[in-house]
Amino acid sequence: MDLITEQLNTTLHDRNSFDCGVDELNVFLKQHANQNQSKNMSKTYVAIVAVSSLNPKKIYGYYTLSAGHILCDHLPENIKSKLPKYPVPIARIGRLAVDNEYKGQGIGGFLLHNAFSNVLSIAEKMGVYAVVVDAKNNDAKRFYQNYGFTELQDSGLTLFLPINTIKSASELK
Amino acid sequence: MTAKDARVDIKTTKAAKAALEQAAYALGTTLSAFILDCAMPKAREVLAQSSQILLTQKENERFIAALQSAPKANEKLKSLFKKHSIKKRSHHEKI
Repeated sequence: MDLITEQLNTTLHDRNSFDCGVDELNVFLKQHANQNQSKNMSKTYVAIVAVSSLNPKKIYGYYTLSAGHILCDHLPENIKSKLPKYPVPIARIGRLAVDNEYKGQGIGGFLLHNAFSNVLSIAEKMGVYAVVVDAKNNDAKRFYQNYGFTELQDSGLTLFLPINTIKSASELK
Repeated sequence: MTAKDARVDIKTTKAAKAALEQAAYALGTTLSAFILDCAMPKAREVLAQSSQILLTQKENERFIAALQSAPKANEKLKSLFKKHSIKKRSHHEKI
């Protein structure tokens, strides 16, 4: 299956048949993704097959990207001086989901790689220190931890990976 | 249950207060509980969508330390990039 990603377009992509098994993520794609996108809150990218007879095209998975910042208040002075003025800018993968029927085929990894590629090109033009993800549950958390993400908050589902770590992986030949 | 150690004072119109009280009464709850029960889910939703994340001092230190000396990419991350960039290359070759 040759997948590509496109930014969500409600006339070209079939949101209604998407089911990843998590209600919140299904509902987001169907009801909120498009509005968030037009308001410039977050952009949604969908995985589709490059050539398809279906119209609109089936969505195999999706993720969202938005900008965010981390507030670092009570920092010791010696650390503070090494970084620019706060807050620290980050890129946030708010949601990442794969359709139930197509799980276990590496689509999650495909989407994550695509998100990284997008963030790396954004980071060329805008300050981004890290990628932050919001895992919806512990399974999702393990998925991210496999790639080196670590907890941002104690025992939380929000994880991060420094942009330089991602950049170094992208530059390997 | 966590102790209630903070207070919210809300100024509103008589009509709005009456409506809230009636609604709370209809559900058999108090005005305070009604307002909080309605507002908390929305607050959580807004925070989840918010672009801002606030860390404790300990979490801050860990975060900043990781940014200052970014960990090396692990094998899984490296192979993710290897796999998908190879795919892209072969795709171009086909064309």
